Amino acid sequence: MQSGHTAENADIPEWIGKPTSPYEDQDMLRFLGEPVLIPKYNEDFCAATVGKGRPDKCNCSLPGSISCIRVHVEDKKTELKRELDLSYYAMGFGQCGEDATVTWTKDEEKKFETIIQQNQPSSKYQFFDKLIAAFPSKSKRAIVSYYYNVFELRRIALQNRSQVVHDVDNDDD
Amino acid sequence: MDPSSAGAGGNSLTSVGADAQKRRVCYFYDPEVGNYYYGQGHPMKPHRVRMTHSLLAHYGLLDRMQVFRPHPARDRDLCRFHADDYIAFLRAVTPETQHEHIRSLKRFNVGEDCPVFDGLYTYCQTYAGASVGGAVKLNHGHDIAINWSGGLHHAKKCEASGFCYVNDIVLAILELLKYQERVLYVDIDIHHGDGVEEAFYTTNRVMTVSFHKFGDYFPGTGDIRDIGYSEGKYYCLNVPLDDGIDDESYLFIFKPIMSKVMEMFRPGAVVLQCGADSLSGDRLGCFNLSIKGHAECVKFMRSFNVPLLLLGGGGYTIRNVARCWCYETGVALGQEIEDKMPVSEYYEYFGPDYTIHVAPSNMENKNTHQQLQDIKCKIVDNLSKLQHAPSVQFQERAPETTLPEPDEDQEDPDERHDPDSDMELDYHKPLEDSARRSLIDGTRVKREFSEMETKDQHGSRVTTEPRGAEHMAEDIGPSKQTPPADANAYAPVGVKTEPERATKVPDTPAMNQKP
Repeated sequence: MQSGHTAENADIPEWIGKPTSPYEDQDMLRFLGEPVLIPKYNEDFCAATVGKGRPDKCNCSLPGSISCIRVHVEDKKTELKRELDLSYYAMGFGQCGEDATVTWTKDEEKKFETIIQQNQPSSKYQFFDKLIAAFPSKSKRAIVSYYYNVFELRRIALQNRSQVVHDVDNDDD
Repeated sequence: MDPSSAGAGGNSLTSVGADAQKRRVCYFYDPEVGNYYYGQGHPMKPHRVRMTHSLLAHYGLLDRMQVFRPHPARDRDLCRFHADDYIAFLRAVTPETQHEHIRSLKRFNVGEDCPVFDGLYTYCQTYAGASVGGAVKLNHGHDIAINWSGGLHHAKKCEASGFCYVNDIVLAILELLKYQERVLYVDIDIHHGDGVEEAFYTTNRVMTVSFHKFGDYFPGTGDIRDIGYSEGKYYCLNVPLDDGIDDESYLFIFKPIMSKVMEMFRPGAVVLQCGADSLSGDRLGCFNLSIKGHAECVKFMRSFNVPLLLLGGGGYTIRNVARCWCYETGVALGQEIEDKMPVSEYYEYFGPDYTIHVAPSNMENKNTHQQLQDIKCKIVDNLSKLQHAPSVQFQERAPETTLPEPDEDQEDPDERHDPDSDMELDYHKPLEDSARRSLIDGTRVKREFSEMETKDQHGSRVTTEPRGAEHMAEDIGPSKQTPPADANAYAPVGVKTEPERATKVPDTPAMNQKP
């Protein structure tokens, strides 16, 4: 019988039956990972809120406007913080969305916008390299984070409310 | 799924809240994943995993599952499958030093579709660690494990491919095989799951099933006639599809095939790669599935009540990827979610409607009913050649010699199907940079920088040329990003077609300009 083993195939041991004792390979147990959230849920408590979408109405003076959404996002984040406690930060929510502006000054934010505007279309200009050059004190990670969490979101928010029909694919990066 | 139908499988899930208790679901997420950046203009954006996470958190789904931060895989964990020198290279190369590694870049196919970026190795360690973690959890008795950062199915033992560097799926399956005699791999990404298929092509302990676009499309493999080799013969299924397939057509072929697979193969665990580039409106894809249609595949596989590892994969219209994987997390939990999205950090990405579900387009479905019926019949026919898996786990499979074999001495039917096998090819001609595909004479020829690997007839494998292709050896295989020369009318807006050279989406400059 051919072993069928080639350089490209995975090396698979022969099956000798299910191990009778619990996980023998202590080395692999590290892949269980670090628990971030273990639910202690009460099924009744959760049933009402799980899978729920947004309410039909809100009390904002301009419902659906950018500022209306901002307020509701803040509220939702506060709610999530309460629900998740420390896991909220362990999961990186403290740096998502507008929270990512925390380490950026207003001037820096303006500069960021200007650089992108001056390097349009993005298909032609390497705006990312220019951003890196313009912010030597910021890590690439910080620039990427700001780009996705703040800049792109604000731009798309405007697009969503403009009368101009934009390219369906707004992933023009 | 109600207890009376446990094991029967194939039933659509009723979305009753209490049902979630019957599935212990764990979910792996690394908060850094969103900050890995393949580079400006590159369609693969790990940020989509963060968008998914935010969305499902605000839908209240986190409460119902155990969430873990993955442990990064070490070199030796990755080398359980990958070549030592390849992993050493991935670990060493950085954007600043890549100019010192030109030979290696070419040898390992890194630098273009698979660029060098900051944190590349950590990224690989993390997404691989998460998939292996999922496998360990399933071996410990969890019902479903989820890792949306994984599913990078193109990576090979010694090279990167199609935005994939390490093959987390292969590593996870190898872990599952410690506790399961048989593992089933199902791939609903629009691209053929070549890396996983190749890894398990010659074994009957893993069955690989891939549904994909076939025909002048990356990666070029996945012919229906590729069915496995040696002990693995009939343990590989390829379902080739054409542009514009919709929910009805897809499920028409998916459900009966997978029912038969489950019946004949009886795996102890299932790994489902949920690449979202098979969705309608994908930047690189050309299928027309809705989120509900895509998720129906997840629902269906879940209904068999076999330990299930859900992984990500492709998906390049990131707002739809987040929608899809959020919805499918709900499916895993047995929880329907409302169409009107809750607000979340990335809410504006989902405008102007801010709903989970998006209507598919009116693109033409090029898959006729007859074609699908023919494919279904061929596949089911191949499946019937499998012996029924023994119901008792410890019973050994009968040796392959009892299976009917065609004239093995005269031709080797186990070689990958190649329509041009009688063609003379000059395989000594140096391959151009992007010609990753093997030549079709049974010898796997690697890049000119590495040694020629010659193998005996039984050891070698040949990748298939696309159906009907007149590709000569010197033709360059398509980059995953480039639409084929005869791209259909539904190619992403603004994309020109290029006849040959695999460049990036042509409107953009060459993506990874050398420093």
